Amino acid sequence: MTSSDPPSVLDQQQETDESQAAAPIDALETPSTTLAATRMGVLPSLAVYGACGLLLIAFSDSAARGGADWAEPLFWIGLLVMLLPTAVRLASSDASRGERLGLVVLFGFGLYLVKVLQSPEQFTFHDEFLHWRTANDIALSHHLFSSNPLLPVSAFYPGLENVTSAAMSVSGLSIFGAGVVVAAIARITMIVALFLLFEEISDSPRLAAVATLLYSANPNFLFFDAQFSYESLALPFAVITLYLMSRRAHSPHGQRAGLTVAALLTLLATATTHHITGFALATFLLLWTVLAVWRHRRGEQPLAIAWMALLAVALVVAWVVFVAQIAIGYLSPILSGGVVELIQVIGGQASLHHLFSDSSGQSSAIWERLVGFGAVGLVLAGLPYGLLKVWQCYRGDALALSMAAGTLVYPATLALRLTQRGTETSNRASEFLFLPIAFVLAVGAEELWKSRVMVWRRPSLVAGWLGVLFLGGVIIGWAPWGRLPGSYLVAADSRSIEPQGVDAAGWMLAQLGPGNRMAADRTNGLLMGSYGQQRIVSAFVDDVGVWPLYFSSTVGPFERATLHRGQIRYLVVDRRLATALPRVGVYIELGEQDAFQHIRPIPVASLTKFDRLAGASRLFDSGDIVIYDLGGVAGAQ
Amino acid sequence: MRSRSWDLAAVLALAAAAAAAVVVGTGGSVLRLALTLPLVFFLPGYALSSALFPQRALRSEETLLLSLGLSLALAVAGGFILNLTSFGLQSSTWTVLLGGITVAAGGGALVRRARNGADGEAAPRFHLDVGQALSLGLAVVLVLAALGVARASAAQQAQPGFTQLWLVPSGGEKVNLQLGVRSEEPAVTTYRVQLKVGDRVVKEWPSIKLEPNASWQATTALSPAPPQDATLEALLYRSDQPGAVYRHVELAPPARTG
Repeated sequence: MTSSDPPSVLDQQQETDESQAAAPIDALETPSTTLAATRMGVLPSLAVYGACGLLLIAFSDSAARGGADWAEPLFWIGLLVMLLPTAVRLASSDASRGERLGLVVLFGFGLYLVKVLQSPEQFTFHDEFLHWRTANDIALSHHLFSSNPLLPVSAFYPGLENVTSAAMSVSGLSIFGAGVVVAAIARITMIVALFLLFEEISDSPRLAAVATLLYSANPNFLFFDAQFSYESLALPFAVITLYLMSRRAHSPHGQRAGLTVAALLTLLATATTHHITGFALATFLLLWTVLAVWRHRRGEQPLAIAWMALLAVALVVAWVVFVAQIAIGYLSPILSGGVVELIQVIGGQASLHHLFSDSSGQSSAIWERLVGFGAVGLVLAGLPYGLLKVWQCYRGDALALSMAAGTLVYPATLALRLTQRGTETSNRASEFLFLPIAFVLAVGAEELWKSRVMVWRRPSLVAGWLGVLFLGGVIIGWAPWGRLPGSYLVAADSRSIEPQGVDAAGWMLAQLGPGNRMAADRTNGLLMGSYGQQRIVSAFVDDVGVWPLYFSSTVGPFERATLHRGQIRYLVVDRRLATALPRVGVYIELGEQDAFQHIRPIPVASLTKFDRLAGASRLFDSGDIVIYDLGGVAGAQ
Repeated sequence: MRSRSWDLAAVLALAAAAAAAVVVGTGGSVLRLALTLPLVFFLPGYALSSALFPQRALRSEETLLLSLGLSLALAVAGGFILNLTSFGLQSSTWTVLLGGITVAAGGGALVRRARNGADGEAAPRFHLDVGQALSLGLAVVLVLAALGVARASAAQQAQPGFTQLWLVPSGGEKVNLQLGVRSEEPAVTTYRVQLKVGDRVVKEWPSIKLEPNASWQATTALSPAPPQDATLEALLYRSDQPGAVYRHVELAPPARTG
């Protein structure tokens, strides 16, 4: 805020609320290590609550591994035990700034540990195998930009793997061990950066803490952005960049050079770590520039922000043009697919995607649907009020207005959820959109709390509001079967990773060496392409769809031509595919016949046909998984 | 060095200790982890932020943010720099690069602080009474317990047992064969393996007893060499179901074209 702004209701509150005694801008120029700033308050007690929640979740994971029905209720209880005491405390007026920061860091890191508890021994999330491959390629070759057949674009945005390589190299940790540490440091960095950014805009530690807590309600916070994936690292870089530029605008001249250098470094790291995050940061900086020029006030520096925005655009574009051209082909269908399908739905050419239902026909429980809709409803209901308050209190601050403008995209992304392909796009947008959404909702909440209405009910209202938002986010963001570990499920990503597949990949590498061109289903392709170091052939990478090899009842000319075009020497068959519908919608790859619309499993005969195929050698048999050598099949090579 | 620049002295000492740990350490030991991970995640960023802000304008939480964030960013950028060298990204080059950045930035920070006359930042004081300390200790214990429960339950998760059987031509020739069995069954299992050429059993291993997670391998030379159009087949039986083929693999002759 600037001195020429209208008096903020927040400012008024700060006069009476010790906890709101955020350092004024001048005070930010000197260190503040006063007792009030570092008083821990009830943080130690709430840390015990959080740890108890984690322990409950650990027991729920353990029960889920044994198939107990009570595992899932215990999981939700554990999350609420972590969330509610912290939420109520953060909404109160008597917590110190240091306590608030400590609480959000503990909560955010605790949520990261929820993901670690689910898979404490190895990576199990789909994207983690993609990045494992890139990290392993670097470890083996000592150089970047190797070909990654699982996710080619990953090799050209190797920021995550650079850090992982550094951690592995100096510590001797495995890729998994180093990856867990990298993701943990990224999570702590993200939380601190969010708090400081929100505080920088609002001058209110309470608002900053609540906004940070609200950000954790985005559907991808609990699991997706806790995994070993490039976005998990790029997001903190982007938020730090925004914070440093905001801090720069309010800092004396002597500090600006340092802040600029630091911002440039994190900008560079963002642009080279994750494509979408780089694009989002550049877009947001441009929006900030436009609004800074429009709302130019003393203290604002539109020119500096404009330069940073232009540099961001130049960096992001240059990286795509000169290094990662492959990103265009990778992102185009993802970004356009949902919109195209939505148009088809409106035109009656495609059917609506069933909300709260996966591709195997499994639907969420009624209460989950209600909470999921409730969370979206609370966001939509809260935004207009929050936007009004942002305009009333922060209209002189271009960054606050940029945040407000950013929220306007949210309703449009909800429409994409009506389509199959758009659902993921909408889901993936949430970690970006919740940055402005969290701020705007927190501004609205701050105003409501200040109104002194229903003060005696405030703790329960806060708990209910944040509880629905947070649980709704988890429900929307992650399929029920993926929230907890458990027994094997067909084509269910983390639930499909089990010893038989892992060992088959290890056998392949040990006996036949790396780099063999092979066809595999979605899960075994991940394992063979990562742990097995094989060259997986796919429509995504090679423009050779291998799904007909699995779906057809015979190996005819088309299938032989597929083998030939893909130069496929080996083929993995997992007979468990014939036992159930795929939870993620596809057995083999995106683009397969009846993708997301399978109504019956692959016939067993389609999977066993290779046993009768002349020239096909059955090299490996572990019961469910069989590996064939197709080098002798006529017309295949 | 000014007396209040103890933080930079500590950073430089830790960087040296980390480098030493890399040189003499064994992979993954707790001491090595404790000494080396800060070289990636904290020390370079702390040193650089100290150099960028010699007047100590940062609050403690900002120092934390920049120490972590800039360390991560420097590691990202460092990977690209190392990639340009013939040595690439490996233990020694990472240690030299990150240690070098830390020393250079730390030295720069000392010089800039001296020029700026910065007198050092008072360390933030956290007032922690006995009850609070006990609470935090209890929280740590509970988190460790949660991690322990998770690791134990993941390691002990009941998984269906399975057995691998494989048959691979050694050196690409069907005369020499690699035959193997690996047991991932939950208990000690006894197997019988037959190797057949066409319908004729040419070799048999009547009793292969394997503990869980144990393997058996044999390299077999067939003499006389099997006919080119013969199918080689290996059959695996379990002793508790001697009449049922449990696993089977085969090497088929190349299919005739046309």
